[in-house]
Parts: sequence; structure tokens; C-alpha cells
Amino acid sequence: MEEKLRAFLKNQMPAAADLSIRGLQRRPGGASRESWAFEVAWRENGKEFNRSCILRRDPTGSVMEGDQTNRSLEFRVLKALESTPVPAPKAYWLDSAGKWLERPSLIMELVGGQPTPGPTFPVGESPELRAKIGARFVTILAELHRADWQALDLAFLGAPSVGTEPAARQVDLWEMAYRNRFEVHPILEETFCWLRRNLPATDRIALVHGDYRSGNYLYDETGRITAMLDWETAHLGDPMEDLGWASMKFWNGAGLAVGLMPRAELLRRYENESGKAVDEKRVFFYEVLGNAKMAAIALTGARAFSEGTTSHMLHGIMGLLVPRLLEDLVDQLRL
Amino acid sequence: MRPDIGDFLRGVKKSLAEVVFPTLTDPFALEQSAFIMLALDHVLARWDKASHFCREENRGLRAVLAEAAARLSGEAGLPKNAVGLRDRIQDRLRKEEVEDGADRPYESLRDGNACLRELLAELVGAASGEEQNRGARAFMKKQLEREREWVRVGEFVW
Repeated sequence: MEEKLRAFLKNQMPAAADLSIRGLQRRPGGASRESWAFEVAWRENGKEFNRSCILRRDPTGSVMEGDQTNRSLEFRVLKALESTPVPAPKAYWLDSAGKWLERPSLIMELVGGQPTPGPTFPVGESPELRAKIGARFVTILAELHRADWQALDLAFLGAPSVGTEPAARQVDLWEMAYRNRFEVHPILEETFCWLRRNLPATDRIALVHGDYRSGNYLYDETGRITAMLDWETAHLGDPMEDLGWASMKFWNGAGLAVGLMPRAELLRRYENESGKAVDEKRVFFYEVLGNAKMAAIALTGARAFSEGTTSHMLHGIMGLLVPRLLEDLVDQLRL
Repeated sequence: MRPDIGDFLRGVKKSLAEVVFPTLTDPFALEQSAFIMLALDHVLARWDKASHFCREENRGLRAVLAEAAARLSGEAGLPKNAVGLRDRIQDRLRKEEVEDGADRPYESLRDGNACLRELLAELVGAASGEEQNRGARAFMKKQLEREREWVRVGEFVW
């Protein structure tokens, strides 16, 4: 792997001399992409350079497939975010087809800060830190949704029209993921029927993160969120989608949305920060879709595990999460 | 005969925990080792109940589909696709009856259930009203309770 990485970086930086790689190591965490940390140093035009990097590489089998995520998209979104107030790692290099690194990969900045150990802010952390992180979590979301995606050259993501198209696109995407599933779940069949009957209309198109929750940011002890991570499912859509995803009971910690604050407070704070009204019906729709999406993701991982295309144990274990998601759907839809 | 499957699984777990895992230093491998222990706990608690679990689901699926097929048979002027679905349900139920028996292998049961689930999903999708889905929903909720219980041992809370 190190040799391949060196060859790739030499190709990307033909003028670099004495290029060296140190500490290449696969990192734990994350279910969808392989994540490797390393340091790279080189000399160029008489100057010395040193970068701490993260390599994100497509795995052989995962919880998401080509239609739901790709490295080029993530790379371009990260590049675009550099000129916004949204904290995100800098994107350095892209091997979009996996010509150099075996599978599609991107290399980005290793940002300081720690991740939460799971998708919820840890119960044991101090209330003061929780409050600070919670406030930043909402502020960053409002900043993200305020970002001018046209000016940021993000139209390549494919802007849906206002109206029901943003919701319909997401239902299509995740229903297709479910249709490639491992096994059929009649509750999910009913859920997708419900989603199609209840597509909400939006009057605003925004850059949506697609996986906005605890576990996908780094924070420090002062309560600063140093980076939002995992932009692989970013898209243009209804901003209520991120709120619905973050509101899911599945990510609750101690009764708090993503372990940070009560759901009602999350929505109220978002209204204050964004200056836009929150449409609770749309948020609810995206919560339901979120449960179905998460179930499709877990089933995709379980299939990769059972078919032997992944060696990541988490993919198998994720299959065991499906009943909890279905239980939430039964409650939400009163089935 | 001893050691049986449970004995082996406990032995594997002990050997991994006491011999193999303490030698690991790679952070990703250490994370995998925690998931392996979780998976072993799940398998240890469930391996000898898997066939019974599948059989129960098979019984429930067959009952709810037989009821649906009978209802569809009693309806006059059914659309073509509903007739097709009813016929496929009846075909599958006949196959299940032939394959049924105390010595039916686990994988045959599992695959049979997958076929029956597909038909139930189609039935749910095709139903024109709440009333027609009542039996299917009651089964789905009961099955979900069983699945929740099934994954509770050594539950992974992400």
C-alpha cells in the first residue's frame, strides 16, 4: 500500500523531491470507507513541506454502493467548502478511478480533534461541553444550508426543482438500495409505499450533508467543532432532510437528538440560526425516510458481509440493527 | 458428542481473548477484535435456536399467506395481477408443504422463508386498503418482536 501511495503522490507532484511517507496505518471507525492516516513530507523549489493526511478509499464491499456515494463527488464538495464558514478537511488529491490506489480514493487533511465514539454525543461528557458542541452543531448546519451552491460551483450535484422532487429523488435512491437488498422486509415495503404517498414539497434547495449527526464531526475540549466529516452522501435537496436525519430516535443518546439536545430545541435553534421556519411535517417525513435509509444501509452491509466481499465485522453486526429501525418505523407510521 | 458447537465457540472466544487479541497493536485490528467478540456472544447465545427461530417464522408466514390466498380466491372479478399473485402464493405453499418436516435443513428453511417474505411483501404492496393488510401487519409486528428479542443478546448499541 505504501509503495502505491508513494507512486501516486509522485505522479500528483512531479516537482516534489525526497518524498517520504510515515506512519501509514488504517484507522478504526467508519463503516462505509477505509480510512488510513499518514504523514507525507517532500521538498519543492527549495522549500520543505509536511502534511498530515487521511486517505479515504472505497472498500471491496460496504454499506453503500456506487449510486449512493463516490469519491469524486466528495472531493469536489470538500474543495467547494473551503471557501465557506463550514469547517471541513481540505481536499488534497484524488484517485477517482482507483488507477493508483486499487480503488477510488481521496486524500484529505487530517484535522485535529476527537470524534464521538458513536453516533451520539457521549453521555458522560460535561453539560457545558455538550451545550457548546450543540450550539456549534446547529450553527454549522444553518451555515451549510445557507451556502450558495451555485456560486460554489456545486450544480454538478444535480439540482432538483423545488416542489416534491428533492424528496422523490431521495426515496428513489434509498428504495433502489433496498431493492438490491439482502432480504425483503414487508415493513420496509409498507414504508416506501407511505413515503411515495406523502412526498413533501420544498420551496428551497440547499446543499445537504446527508449524514449530519454526532460521529461525523471532530471536536476539541473547548467546545469547538474542528471539522464536519463524511461528505460522501452530500447532495442538493431539502434542508429539512438533515434535520430529520439528526432527529432520528436511532441516534438518540439519553433522550437527546444525537446526544446533544432535545429534538424540539434542535428545531427551534435551527430556526433562530437560519432565519427559516422549520416545517415539522417535512422533518417527520425525513425522519421516516432516515430510518428506511439506515435500514437499507445496514442491509447492504449485511449482504457484503454474508457474501464475503468485506472483512469488516461491523458490516455483519449492522444487520442486527435492522429490527430496531423497523420498530421505530412501526411506531412512526402506526402500522 | 463433546466438544460440541457451543464448547468450540467458547474455546475460540477464550483463545482469541487470552492469546490472540492481547498481541494486537494495530488500532483497526483492535476495533475488529471487539466486533468479533460481540459476534461470538451473539452466535453463542443463538446457534442452537436458529432452526427453531426459522421454523416459527415459516409457520407464521405460511399461515398469513394461506389466509390471504383464501381471501383472494373468494373475491370475484380479481384483476390479472392479483390472480397471478394468488397462484404464486398457492404454488409456494404447496412446495413448502412438500419440503416441510422435522429434519428440514436450516438453509432450506431460511431460503423458503425468503421466498415467502417476497410474496408477503408483494401482497402488502398490492393491497388496496388497510383492511387487506390487517393480517399481514399483525404477523409483521409479531415477527418484529421476535427479531428484536433475537438481537437483544449482546446487542450492539451503535
